[in-house]
Amino acid sequence: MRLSFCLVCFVCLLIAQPVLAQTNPFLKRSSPAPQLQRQSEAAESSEHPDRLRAFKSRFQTMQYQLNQQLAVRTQAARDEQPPWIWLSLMLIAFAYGAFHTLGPGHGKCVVCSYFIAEDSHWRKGLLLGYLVAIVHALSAFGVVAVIYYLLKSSSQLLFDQATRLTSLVGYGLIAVLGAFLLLRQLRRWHSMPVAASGSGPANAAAHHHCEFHDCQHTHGHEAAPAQPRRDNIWLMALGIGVVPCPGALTILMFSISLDFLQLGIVLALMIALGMGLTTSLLAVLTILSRQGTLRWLSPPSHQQQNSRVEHALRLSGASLTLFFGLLFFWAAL
Amino acid sequence: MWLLCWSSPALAHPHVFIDYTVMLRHNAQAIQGFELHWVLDAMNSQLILDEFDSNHNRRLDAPEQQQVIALMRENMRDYDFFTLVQLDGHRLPIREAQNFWVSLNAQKRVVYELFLPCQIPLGPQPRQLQFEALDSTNYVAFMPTPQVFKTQGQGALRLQITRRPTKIYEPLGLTVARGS
Repeated sequence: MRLSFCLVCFVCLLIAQPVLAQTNPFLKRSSPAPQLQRQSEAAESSEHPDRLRAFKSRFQTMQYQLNQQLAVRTQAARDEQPPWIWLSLMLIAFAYGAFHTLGPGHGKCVVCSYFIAEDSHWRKGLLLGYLVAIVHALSAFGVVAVIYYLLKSSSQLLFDQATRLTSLVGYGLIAVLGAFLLLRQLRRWHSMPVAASGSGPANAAAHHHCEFHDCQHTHGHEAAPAQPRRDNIWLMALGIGVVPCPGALTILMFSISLDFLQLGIVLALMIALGMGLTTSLLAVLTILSRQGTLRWLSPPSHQQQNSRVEHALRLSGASLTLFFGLLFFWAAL
Repeated sequence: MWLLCWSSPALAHPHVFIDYTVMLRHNAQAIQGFELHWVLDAMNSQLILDEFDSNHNRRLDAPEQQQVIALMRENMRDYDFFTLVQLDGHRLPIREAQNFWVSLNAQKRVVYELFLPCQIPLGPQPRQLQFEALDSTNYVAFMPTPQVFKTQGQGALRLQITRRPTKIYEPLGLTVARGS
């Protein structure tokens, strides 16, 4: 009962927060529904509590300062190229990637939903976090290669359209993976023996029965949860990371415009490493929280309850993965 | 779990940064509107230049400026020209932008200048006016310059700055009344 209540509140909190696709408003006209949403959000912006506004303000001002430093030092590196400029630029790019990813976006909620659904070792969290970041960077390289070098264009509209196209592909992939996880979990749920999934007198009777007879059947709760398949991790990384980060795209194009592509590649990779650090830390936190939640809600003496909690977590995680995939796909349309 | 709930768009990461200044234009009886001066960040300025500088002279000539303006003017209307104006707690709609101008400054950064008409009659009683440069999608972040606010006009105005923004996401607060 307590778990159900927590899960319902959690889902309601998620649904209550609006999610908007990140497109450059200078380049693209909005559709009417998001426009109305934006207007109401704009009107409410000044009503947020002062402490929250102050935090948001400091957070974005920090990104502004990092962005300024990146621009100034990149130009300095092109003009003078002392060795320490490169090192400071790489550190700033790394910090920029880490901070940049702290805000919503870059698939953190999808990664966390996945690790709620899948019982994993913390190393898997590190792996997925960095895989997403690397695919992000490679996607940015690919988009620049196609648009700038192949199509010989630097049109921001083309970059915007490429981002939109990759968003549709990536989020579609996430939705499909979420649906697969959900179906698999529903099949497991239905295939659980009745005695194991129920409680009360019927279950007590089943256990009592087995004390006196050599029962060959299992009660389901003895089965260990399966480890996530490796190809799921790769699919998830591809689905999330295929959308190129506009920040990495901007850095690359800025470097190209200064005839300094090699620095742009290095900086985009450092941004990706910073992004990977933030995403993987959050993934590890989710994995550890999941394990802690299981231990808290279902002590080892209550193996039957453990099974129910495990199933509920898997179901909610799979549902969230599917939900986010569909939501982001719709937002990208 | 709290981190998963952290999906408010106001925390989304901006990719474009603009240094802004606002000038309040008025006459003796009313506020006429707001003149905005936006300076785009160095990276995005370079991208704009790369895209629209068709003759590669590292300047935005008049035809090139017109292309930039044509692309942006209609799009910005959907976002209320990134401006939120409230009078005594009530939102005032911003319907159009006039005198929209694009140029490059000495640092090769793109400068946008535009006037947002917003007629606000003034009386002897002070009124609370709040101005905020804001992109509600948070793709663009507006940073106030040190001299963020100026006034220009005919006639006296009783004006007090109740809140001066120094960071992104901070509004400008004013108390305004007709001068004696």
